[in-house]
Amino acid sequence: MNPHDHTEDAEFEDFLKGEGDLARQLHDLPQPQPPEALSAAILARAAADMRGAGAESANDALHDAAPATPPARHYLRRARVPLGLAASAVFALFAVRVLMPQAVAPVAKESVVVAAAPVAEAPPPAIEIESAPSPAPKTVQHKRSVARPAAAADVAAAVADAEIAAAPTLAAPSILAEPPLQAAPAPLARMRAPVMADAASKPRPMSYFGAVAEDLPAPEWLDRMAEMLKAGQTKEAHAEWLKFRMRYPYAEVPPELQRQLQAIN
Amino acid sequence: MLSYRNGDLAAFEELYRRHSQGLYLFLAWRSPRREWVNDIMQDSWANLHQARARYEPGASFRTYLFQIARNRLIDLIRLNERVLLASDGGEEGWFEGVADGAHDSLAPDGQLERKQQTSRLHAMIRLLPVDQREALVLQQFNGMSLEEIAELVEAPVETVKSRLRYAMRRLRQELAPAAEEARA
Repeated sequence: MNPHDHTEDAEFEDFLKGEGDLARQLHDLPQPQPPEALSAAILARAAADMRGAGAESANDALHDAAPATPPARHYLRRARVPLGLAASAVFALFAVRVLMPQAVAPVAKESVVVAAAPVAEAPPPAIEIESAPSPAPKTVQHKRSVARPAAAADVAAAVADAEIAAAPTLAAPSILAEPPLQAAPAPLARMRAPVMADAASKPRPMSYFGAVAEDLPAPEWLDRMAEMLKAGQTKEAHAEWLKFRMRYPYAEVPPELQRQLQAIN
Repeated sequence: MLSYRNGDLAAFEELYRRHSQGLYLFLAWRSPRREWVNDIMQDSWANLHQARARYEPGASFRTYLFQIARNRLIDLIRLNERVLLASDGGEEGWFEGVADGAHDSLAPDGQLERKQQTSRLHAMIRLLPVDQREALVLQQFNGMSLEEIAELVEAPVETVKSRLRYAMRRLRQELAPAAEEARA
């Protein structure tokens, strides 16, 4: 090792301690700051999640990834609707047969045919649900799609947007079109920290924050932001812009509008 | 983190206050696309929120948080390799803006000079190889120890040290002519 190496070693040690000219210049270097709207959105979302912990919400797909409640209880809660439907069908059948035996006999027969499948297959006691799983998941899926039409529409819109973006060229594949991350190699498997596998493997809107609630097509959304800028609502426009970018990360944006929106930050 | 894991919102706000700036600038320097930074930032905190029940004290919280963000970033890079090769992410303009905004309060002469210095340094850091830049940002801007960085990037401490040494050497070489000029 020559004296030059010793000198550099000493300089390097100083550098690691934040001493020396270069380290000082680096420490004084202006750095990008997180936009206020971004921080506000993250904090608001965390607050909302904590307040609503345990309650079903529009984002319960996210909670599914890390269930806060024991799985058995969660499953029973999901089965409330099919169980209720089955009980109603049994009661209706009973009422028709007992109260109007002659007058509606043919109708009752038809009812039996229609109602037989759910009544026979839906397990009355909750404990038996696991032993007859086939009808229950179907009903659960139906319940979910009924309960969250807006979320389903968002997903469909997001997928459609991804397809539109990818159609003319392969230059902009959307994050929405990611394959399941189980297939991804090295870092995902190696890291101990959680990855986004659960959420990313499902088609979903780009962000968990705010953008999910928006359901505007990209062109209309852009028009709205342009109007906001004209009206001098720059902060609001910037907040919309952040949401827009999360929702439509690869949407074509008129350069002038993009410049104006980015300049706000 | 343990308070937050048990549902203390104030604890989350404190964690955010302490680490949001560091995470944001790490992503800003590390992400090849400017428009990814906000998304990854949000995804990272959301994922942390979902995974909080599984957090186990042992690794530093900061390393844990940065790992979440880094994993997400690597996934995106991998999925968008072709796009990244074909286009520029616009970071140069972003950092120009940061440099402009930082020196607005100075007198015009000093302002121009400082802006140029800042822009030059920004550009040099961005030109460093990714591994070196990452180590530099984590060590110099975030104050992480070599061990923390090694854990985060999954490399031996000596490798991290070597990356930092190369980064320092390269920046010093690039800055040397400007320093000479200033002395003259």
